[in-house]
Amino acid sequence: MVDRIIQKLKHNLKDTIIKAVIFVIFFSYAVSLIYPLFWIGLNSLKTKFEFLSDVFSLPKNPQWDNYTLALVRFKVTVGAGDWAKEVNMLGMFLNSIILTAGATFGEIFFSALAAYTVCFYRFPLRRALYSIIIFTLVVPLVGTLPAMYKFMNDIGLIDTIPGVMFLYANGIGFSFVLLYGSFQNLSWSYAEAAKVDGAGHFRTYFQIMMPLSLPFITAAAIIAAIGFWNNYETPAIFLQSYPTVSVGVNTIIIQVQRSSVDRNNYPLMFSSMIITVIPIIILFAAFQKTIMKNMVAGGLKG
Amino acid sequence: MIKKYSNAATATPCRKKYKIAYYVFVAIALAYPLIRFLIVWGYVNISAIWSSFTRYDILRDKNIFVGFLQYRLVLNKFINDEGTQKMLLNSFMYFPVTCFISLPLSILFSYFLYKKVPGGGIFRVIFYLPSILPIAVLTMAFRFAFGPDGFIDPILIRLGITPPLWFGSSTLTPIMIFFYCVWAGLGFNIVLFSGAMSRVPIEISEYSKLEGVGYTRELLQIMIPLIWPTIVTTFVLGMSSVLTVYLQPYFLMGSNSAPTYGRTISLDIFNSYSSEMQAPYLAAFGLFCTICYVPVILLVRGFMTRFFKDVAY
Repeated sequence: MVDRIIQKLKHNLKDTIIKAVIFVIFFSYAVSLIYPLFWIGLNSLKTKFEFLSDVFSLPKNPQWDNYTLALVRFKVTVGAGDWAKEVNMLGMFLNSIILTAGATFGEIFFSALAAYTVCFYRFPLRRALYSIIIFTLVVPLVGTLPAMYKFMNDIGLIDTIPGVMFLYANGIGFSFVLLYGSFQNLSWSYAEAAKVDGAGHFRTYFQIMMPLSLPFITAAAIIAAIGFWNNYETPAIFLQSYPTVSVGVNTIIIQVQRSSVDRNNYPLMFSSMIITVIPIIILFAAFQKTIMKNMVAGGLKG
Repeated sequence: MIKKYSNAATATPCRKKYKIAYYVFVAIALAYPLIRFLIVWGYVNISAIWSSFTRYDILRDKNIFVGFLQYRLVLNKFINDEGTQKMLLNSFMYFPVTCFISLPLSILFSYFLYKKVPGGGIFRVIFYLPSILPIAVLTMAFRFAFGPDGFIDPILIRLGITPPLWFGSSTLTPIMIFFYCVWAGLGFNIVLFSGAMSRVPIEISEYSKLEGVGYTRELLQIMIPLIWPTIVTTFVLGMSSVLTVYLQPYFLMGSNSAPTYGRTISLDIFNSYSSEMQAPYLAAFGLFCTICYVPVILLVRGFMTRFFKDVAY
């Protein structure tokens, strides 16, 4: 009996030590992720000279003006000749909002409908379709960028916001896989009951199943929206006249490092970086529980 | 028995009418994704394949068929050009970094989050943070931290260590890029693995605890076999990063100028494309890499799926 108690105590002690070590590792990693952002946020409130003299000090007189300056001062020139125009961060914000909202709506609407159908309806080649979706998702074809550019140019969608929305709103991409996994946890009996009451397929989906799946559709929508907001390469290549914030912030970074006007004005550059991430942080903070819960529930299995 | 799906064949009232409505719904629901897939994936890929067998003729202002010429040029570069060989090696290094460093670390982190380490919920959210931030901002934050005006160098100097030029040498820069990939890439996998682990019945964990199974044994003999399908998918995704990764080196090396030591397959294509003339060579280059590497991915996937049977729970 005493031996068993000692053994149990030893086991508990070992368990506590392991968990303490893991906690320290997790804490250090978490600090390493947060500190750079905190440091950038802190230094965005300094003057240029204050920052260059001490990168660790607290701002003596917080320069909130850096944020308003960053919104209007940094400009990206698009187009050439008579068509050249300058877009400031406010303009980039507007482009990003329009693009993200439209693309997210399209992506989630089509992905949810497709995932629901593939999950609950039996039709020829259903399994093959799912396999193809997974295959195209995990096995990329490289070298198609020039062909894609030519295609978008040929159909007149290059350099247009609807064109990039079309590229984003896939319908059978990552959102599909997430939603498919989540739909699998939803009972079909609700739809059965609706069918008995005379509801058609569309009514069953839009009035019964979609409202029931709203939590994970919301999570998928936010994940998609964050992805579209952050996407760099697609707008950089296919939407050069309408720079988004993620494209613009890179141009601003280059400007600060190389241009003669704002050279080494790092606090201003940090302000623009913080402005870029604020909407995402707010969105993520507001829906963090929904995202985590549904990401965890959906999972990924191919 | 609870019915888990709708079936047109078993519909009883007005069977024919119901069957038509059933398939009309399926057709409408899948119309946009399938049409888009055929256009964007099918048409674009076919035209890229066709383009790889052509070259741009300036005089005729169109592409003319040249057979395997572009592929011969690509092969020639692979064999004789040192820069291309270095670029291929750089790209392939992402395979071990992603699959043998990042992936096991993610599994380990997820396992201890599953075992309820204090503050696990907050840690999971913080770990996911790099996945929601724009890559331009995150890479800049990382690069700046290690830069001459950053906060790492002053700390090292205070400790009496002379800081190296983190992003300025052919040996250290690739290591820093790989380090960044691991540092920023753990969170997304952690959330995926946490999802898979959370579906493992709690009874299994409790039973193993009663039997006195330790952490290592539980992870290796119970958890990993049960979440194996997710591991396989993540491993395959990690393998494909060899072909797809480019934004990390692109931003970490200062956007426009990518020195040889940081180049990757996709970065080369991204940086090289500026006119119609380069399209055939770049298509051949990308497709040649895909043709050589995708069978390896599929073989590994096939091999890995045989390891453990997919268990329903």
